[in-house]
Amino acid sequence: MAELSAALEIKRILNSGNFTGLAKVCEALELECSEAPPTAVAPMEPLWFVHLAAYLVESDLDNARFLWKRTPPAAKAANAELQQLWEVARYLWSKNYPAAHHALATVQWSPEVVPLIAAIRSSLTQRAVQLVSNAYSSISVNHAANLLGLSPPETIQLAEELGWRLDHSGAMLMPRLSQQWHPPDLDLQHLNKLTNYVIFLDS
Amino acid sequence: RVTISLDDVYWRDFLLQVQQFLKACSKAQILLAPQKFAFVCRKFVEVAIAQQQSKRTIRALQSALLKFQPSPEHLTPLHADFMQVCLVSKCYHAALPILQQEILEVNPAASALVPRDLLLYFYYAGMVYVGLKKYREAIDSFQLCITAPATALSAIVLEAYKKYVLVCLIVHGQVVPLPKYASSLQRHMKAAAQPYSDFATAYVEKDLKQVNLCFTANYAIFEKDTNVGLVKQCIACIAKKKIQRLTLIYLTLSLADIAENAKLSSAQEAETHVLRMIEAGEIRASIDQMNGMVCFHEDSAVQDGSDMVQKLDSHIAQVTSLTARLQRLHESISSDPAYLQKISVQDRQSRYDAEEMGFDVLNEKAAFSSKAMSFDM
Repeated sequence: MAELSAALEIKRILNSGNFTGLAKVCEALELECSEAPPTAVAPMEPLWFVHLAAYLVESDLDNARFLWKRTPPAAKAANAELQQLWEVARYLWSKNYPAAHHALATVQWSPEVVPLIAAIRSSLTQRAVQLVSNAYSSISVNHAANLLGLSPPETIQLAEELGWRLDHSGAMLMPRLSQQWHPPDLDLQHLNKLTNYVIFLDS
Repeated sequence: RVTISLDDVYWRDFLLQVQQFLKACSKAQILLAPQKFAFVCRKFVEVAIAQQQSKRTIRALQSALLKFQPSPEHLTPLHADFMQVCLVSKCYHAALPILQQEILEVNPAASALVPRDLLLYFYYAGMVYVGLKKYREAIDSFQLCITAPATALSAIVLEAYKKYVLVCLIVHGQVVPLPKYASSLQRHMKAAAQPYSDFATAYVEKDLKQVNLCFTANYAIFEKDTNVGLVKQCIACIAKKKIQRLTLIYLTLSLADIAENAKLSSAQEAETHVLRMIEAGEIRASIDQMNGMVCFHEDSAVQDGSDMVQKLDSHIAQVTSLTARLQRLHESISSDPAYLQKISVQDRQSRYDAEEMGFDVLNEKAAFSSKAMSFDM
């Protein structure tokens, strides 16, 4: 049976290790599979685990929730790892980051999905770092460790790398917002646009 | 509701055939028989939903829709069908490409469109937006459904109004009044959706106890309308709204004070709430855990960068194109024979009266036609 083009694309992305755009291709695969004639002997099944993991890498919890509702019960029952991944998604939905990190770290994932799980963990940590530097002017090390899913010593190390200050008691971190300011790009084209605006307003 | 009394074999074949047809049909051919084509698509959707095979219709319908539309700004009956299957099959993401089309034109002759299709499309679109948590777009969509000109209240409009009330509460904390061009059926809508109006009134006070009382009192009605989820989201937003109000009054506030103001159980809970709101971009603040304080920032951050300029440019371009379109619309109406006839009748009448009374004919005529122009616009 010919492999669906979307399935080939997914294989390529998984092999490359760069998971951007994976969710879109999984969506295309799901719709392609749904169009198969009902009489087909061995119909192609959508890759439910990969699809869910792709959503979690992008922290797209709304679409993850709808995907779970669409997944047929047979697919859920057959794949224990899928159910474990959904547990992680549920923790993320209720913003229980420590539990989500714990689940990701402690479950014995099969070797094929380990890169995906690693991608989910690193994306979670990155988002947490962004959030902490945005939201906190001072935060206890333990609390930060909880949010970032790291141990306290690892948190302190990461903080040093990011340039956050540690206070003298050793228990409080002062995150710093690393905001990049891009100067506006003004050139002749912009002058053209402004001229057009003035002409329009005068007419 | 259509009950299909076909054998398995027949519906299977039918779905497959139409699926392949929709993908392969030629644009020129289907435009010659719009009514039949729309009818086939509608039956396709009905059978698929009845047989729980709605997912398989999505791509076929999408390609058919894109072929059937005279332009990406035209509404067709297939729009409503497409939204329906996306909702039923829970493939909300698949609806986005069509939702992003800006619907500005209708051509009933070319697309066999009836008003019901328009109401259904905007109602379903609103529901998809709610599912994707795009509440502002949902409000716009529901508003388009509710403000469609009508002389009698339609069930679709009533359901859209109920959801409109709830989504307004989530976004604005109160029901946004409908624009002036809305039909005069507003009073009937409010009366028919009394529990929702009561809920909205209780909500404006932001008193959690009152709101919960109203919720439990009307639970059966909310459940029948499948709006319980939305109502619960409204209630969950109350603490958020209270905290947002605080940002307008205070520059810094202790977590304990926030908890007291927003009726939360502890400073810990207040911190969680504030953190979630910062994550969602609903407020700009920074938490000082060492002192248990929150510092609220001004809304306008340093945004002189290039992305701000780009945003401004795109907004201005949008307004320019909209103005040009309005200008064309104005010109086309002014040269419409029906309109000119109406104008000339009124003109003749005014001239007759003016001569009778000896007024200045020219002034009268100018005043009349300018009044008629503004009335038509």
